[in-house]
Amino acid sequence: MANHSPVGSQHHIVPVKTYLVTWLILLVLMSATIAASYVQLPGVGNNIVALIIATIKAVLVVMVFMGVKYSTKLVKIWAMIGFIWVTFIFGILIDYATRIPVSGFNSDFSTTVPRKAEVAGQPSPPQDQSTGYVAPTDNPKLKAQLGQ
Amino acid sequence: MATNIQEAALEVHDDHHHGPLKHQYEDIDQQNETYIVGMWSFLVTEVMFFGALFLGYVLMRWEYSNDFYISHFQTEVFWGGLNTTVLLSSSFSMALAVHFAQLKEPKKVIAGLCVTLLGAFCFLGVKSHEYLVKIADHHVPGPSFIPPAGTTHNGSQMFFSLYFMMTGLHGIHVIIGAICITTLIILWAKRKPVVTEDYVPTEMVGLYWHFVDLVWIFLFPLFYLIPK
Repeated sequence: MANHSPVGSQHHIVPVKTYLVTWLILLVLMSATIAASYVQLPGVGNNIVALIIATIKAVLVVMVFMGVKYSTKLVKIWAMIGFIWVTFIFGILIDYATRIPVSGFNSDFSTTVPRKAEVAGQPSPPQDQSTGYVAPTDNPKLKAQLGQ
Repeated sequence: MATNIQEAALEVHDDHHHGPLKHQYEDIDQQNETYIVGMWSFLVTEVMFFGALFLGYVLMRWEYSNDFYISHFQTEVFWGGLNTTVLLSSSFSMALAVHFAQLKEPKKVIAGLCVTLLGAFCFLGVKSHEYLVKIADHHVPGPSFIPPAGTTHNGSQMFFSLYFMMTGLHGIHVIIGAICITTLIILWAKRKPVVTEDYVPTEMVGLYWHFVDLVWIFLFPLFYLIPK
């Protein structure tokens, strides 16, 4: 067991240059993800691009900054296991995607509770805010705005 | 006889307490690996509960995609991008602090940690500005909530609930990180052997700080850059 390395018991020291390059790549990727968000891609393209860039950034942080790349296999397993679990739990989306919407879980929120403004017979709030529940308020400015 | 045993015990004691190596470990590498695995098992629990929140986000955005799209214009890309830059840079300075902790250069470690701490305060400052804007706009879920124009009440409220829940939880992590970094700076400034002889305490706070950065890397596109 006592397999002492000749260098002495030193952890692998990552050169400053590696950190510097990683940091610059991360900043470039951040700019890329902001730029990509202003381009309208077909379908879910924008989501995929944003998540791929975020994943690359995450891998860079975990591997270089957190030093997993230079760690032992045991540390690598521990570092991966949480992220593997997250991908497993996202498997629950298969259930939501394949289930026939009997009532839709949206309806539970939107229709069972009557909207207060409608019940009380208050005048409708301005057009741009007419879409939902409007609670009474003590703020005089807001009161005028809502027509309460 | 008794004194002999005591002397022997003292000798053993001396043998095993050179430097940071604790007596139950074979060598310093095994000790360090144990510490790092312990820290990572804590980070796994963090990944798990943030993961559940991200799943909740995906389900709600699926259900209210239009509301999420319109509501996300209330978050400003400029502030989000600034905070991303700040966190990425503070992660870099934290990595440098750990690097110099390995090389046992206290002054550079303290400099790196101070830059990281400055990043933490800068992040929290920007975040509180954003929160104050949303409070002033009545975008905090609750009785005084006013949905942004063109959204349904439930959908936009769900967006802001997730926004405050996830960025708030992340913000708490930033505060805890700042407290840990401050403690480290004090320990390094006093040249305490617990940090100067063993780089692992610095490394662990570093791991925590990088994890905070990691969460923000996903929060930023999901709340500031939502496509239609």
